[in-house]
Amino acid sequence: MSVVYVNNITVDSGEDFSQDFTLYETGGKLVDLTNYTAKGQLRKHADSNTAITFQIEYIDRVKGKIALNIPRWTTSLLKSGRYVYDVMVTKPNGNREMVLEGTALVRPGVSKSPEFSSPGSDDRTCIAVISSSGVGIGTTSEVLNKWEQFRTTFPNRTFYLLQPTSDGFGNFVTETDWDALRVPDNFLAETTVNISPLI
Amino acid sequence: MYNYTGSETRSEIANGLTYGPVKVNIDNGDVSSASDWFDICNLSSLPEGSHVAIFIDNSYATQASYDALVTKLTAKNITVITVDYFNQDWISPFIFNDLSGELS
Repeated sequence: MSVVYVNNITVDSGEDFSQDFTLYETGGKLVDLTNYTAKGQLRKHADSNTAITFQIEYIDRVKGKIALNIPRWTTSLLKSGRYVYDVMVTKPNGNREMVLEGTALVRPGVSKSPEFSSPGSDDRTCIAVISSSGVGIGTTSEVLNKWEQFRTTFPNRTFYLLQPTSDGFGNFVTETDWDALRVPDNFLAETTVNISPLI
Repeated sequence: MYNYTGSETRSEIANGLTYGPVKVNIDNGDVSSASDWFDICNLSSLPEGSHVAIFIDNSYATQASYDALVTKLTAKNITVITVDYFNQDWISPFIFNDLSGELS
């Protein structure tokens, strides 16, 4: 079992962040990360609905060395203050373990340069992955209004609606699938479905 | 709901920005069952430094696909903003939590 390593980090807004970590088993043995995958996220607080995903670099898998990276165009999104982060690994057998956690102090950047500014959010790609919708989506008219609000606010954003199903990728969606997702008419009127590469 | 016959496409009236629903695999963490979301969503065309916002209702069902996507995006220096939500509303997270591009 790996040791959960608590380490508080400092991130400077608008600058590249990178910090190395060495992971140990209980008892001090290095964790061999061969065939492991790792995922780390930074949030404003544990219950926050949004997160930044670390770019994880495997410096030396056998010696348990990884680096957490956040590019400057992403740190520039962060307001100064305290955040929390954690890193979880998935072992080759599918078991998962938390290996790193702590707080992140985000400090405001001193200098601002055009190269530090993040690409605009106006044309961000959005991906929703959901098998069926019900709780919280609202009535038919409410869903219609939500989609209208999204498109009014972000007319240039690309949006993909992915639906995990038992028959899976490569099969046509049908009216039954659309109804399961409570897809509103104004979404259907502008979407592209059932053509390559979508099937 | 829309009078859909089940065999047509909407490409003739599509805006070119909205896609789906697109069926993808339930992988339950099994890499061999994963779908290539990077390819399906044509993300290879995004430039370095772009941002992708993702909302997932049941992360375990598609964990392998998600992990593969994040690996490909981070390799291209594309930032992934994961938007969790505690109900099955797939629109609101992109309006509110992701409105300004900052973490809430």
